[in-house]
Amino acid sequence: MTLACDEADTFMHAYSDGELTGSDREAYETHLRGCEACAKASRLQARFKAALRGHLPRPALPLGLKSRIESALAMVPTPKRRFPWQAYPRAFTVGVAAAAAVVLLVASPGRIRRSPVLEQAISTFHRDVPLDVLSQSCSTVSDWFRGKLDFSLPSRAVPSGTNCQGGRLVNVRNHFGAYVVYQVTAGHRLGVMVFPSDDEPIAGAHPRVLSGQAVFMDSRQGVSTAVYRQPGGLDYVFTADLDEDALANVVETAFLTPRQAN
Amino acid sequence: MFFRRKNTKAEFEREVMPHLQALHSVALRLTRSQGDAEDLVQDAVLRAYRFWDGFEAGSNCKAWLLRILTNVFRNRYRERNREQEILLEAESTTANLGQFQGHAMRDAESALFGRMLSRDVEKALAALPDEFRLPVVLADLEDLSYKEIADVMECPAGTVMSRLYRGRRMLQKLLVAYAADADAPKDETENTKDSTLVDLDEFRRQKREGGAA
Repeated sequence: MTLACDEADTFMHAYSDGELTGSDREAYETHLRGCEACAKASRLQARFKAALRGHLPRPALPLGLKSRIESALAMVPTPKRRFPWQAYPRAFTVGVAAAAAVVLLVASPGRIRRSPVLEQAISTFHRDVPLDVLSQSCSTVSDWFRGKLDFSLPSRAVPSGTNCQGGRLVNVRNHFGAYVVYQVTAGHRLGVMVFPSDDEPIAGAHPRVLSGQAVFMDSRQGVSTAVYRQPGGLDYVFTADLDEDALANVVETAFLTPRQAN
Repeated sequence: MFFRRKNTKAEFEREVMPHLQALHSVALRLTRSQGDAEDLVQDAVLRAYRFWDGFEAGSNCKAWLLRILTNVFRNRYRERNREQEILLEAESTTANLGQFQGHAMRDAESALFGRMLSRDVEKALAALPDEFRLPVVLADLEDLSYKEIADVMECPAGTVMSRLYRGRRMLQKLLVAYAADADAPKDETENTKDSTLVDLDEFRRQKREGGAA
C-alpha cells in the first residue's frame, strides 16, 4: 500500500499519539522514508506534542484539597438501603403511601420542619433566581433540560396547558435537579423543583392525599410548599405564593391527575 | 442490591484518591480558575461516590472519573461560557485548517518552537472551545489513549481524532499569531489605523454636531 501526501497527513496525529498500528503504520513509515516534506511534518508534530507537555506541566495538587474532599466524603452518609417504593414501585399502592404519610408525620414532626431541601426550595423561590432558559413553551423548557440531568424530566413535571415561564438547573443535595417556574392565577408564581430521591424522608407538616398520592404540605414565610415523592425515585417540591388549599388544588389538577389520552 | 458493602468508602478512597492530581489538572484546564477547579474536583468525587456501585471493579477508574468530572463541568459551568465559546467556535471554524495545510506553513510552525512561551501556550489552550480543548488536554497532557478519551467524552473514536486534529491546529494557529504579534514593531502597530476603531476627537466632533442638530 502506498500513500499520497494528503493521506499521510491524516495518519500523522495518530502516529504521533502511538495509535497507528499494523499495516497503516507500515505504510505511513514507508511514505515518510520517501517524502522529506511529510517526514518533516511528522517530526514537527512530535515536537509540538512534546513542547505542549513541556510548557504545561501538571499543576501541583492544592494543599488541603485532598483533606477537604476526605472530609466532604466523611459527611456523606453511606446509603443503607433503598426505599421500598424505589425497589418495588408497582407494588407500592396509594394506601401504603398514605399510611406512610401518617407514620412519617407522627414519627418525626421535629425533623420535618428543618428539611434543608424545603429551605432551599423556599429560598430559591423567594430570591426569584435568574433562569437559564426563558420560554412560555413548556416543551422548549422541557427540551432544554435534556442531557443536563441524570434523569429524564417526566412530562408530568412540565405538563402541557400550564403557563411556563422558564427553568434552571439546581443542585439539590449534590444531585442535579430541574427548577421550573410557572405563572399561576392572578400574578402568582409557582416553582417546581424536581430531583432524584435520596434517603432523606420527604418533608411537610400536613400530609394530604391528592389524586390518590401522598403529598406533604406546609406553609411558612408567606409561601406554601407541597412535596411529592414519585414512585421510581424522583422528588418534587412545589413552592408558591398561594395558601395551602390553592396550592394543593394546582398540584392536584395540573401535576398529579393523570392526563386523558386524546 | 439493597446494601452496600461495609468497606465501600475505604475501597472508594483507595481507588479514587490516586487520581486526584489528574482530575485537578483536567479541571483546571476546563474551568480556567483555581477555585472552580477545586469545586469541580470535589463535586465530581462526591458524585462518583454516589455511583460507586455502578463502577465495574477492574475497569479504567481514571477514565470513569474523568467522564464524571466532564459531565459535571458541562452541566454546571458551561452555561456561563457559552456565549464566548460560540464566538470562538465561529472564529476557529472560519479560520479553519486551510492555512495550515501545505508545507509552506509548516515552516512557520517549525520556527515557532524556539519561541513558544509557556504563558502563550497557556493562553492559547484556554482560548480553545471546550470540545477541542478537552481532547488535546487528555491526549497531550494526560496521555490517555483515543479509546479512553472516547470513553471520557462519550463519543466515537473517530470524533476524538477529528477534534484532536482540529484542536491542535487551532492551538498552533493561535501560537503563530501570538508570536507574530510579539514580533510586530511597536511604532508600526501604533501607526496602523484600524478602520473599525473610531478616533476619539472625531467621535467627539460628531457627537457635538449630532447634539447641535
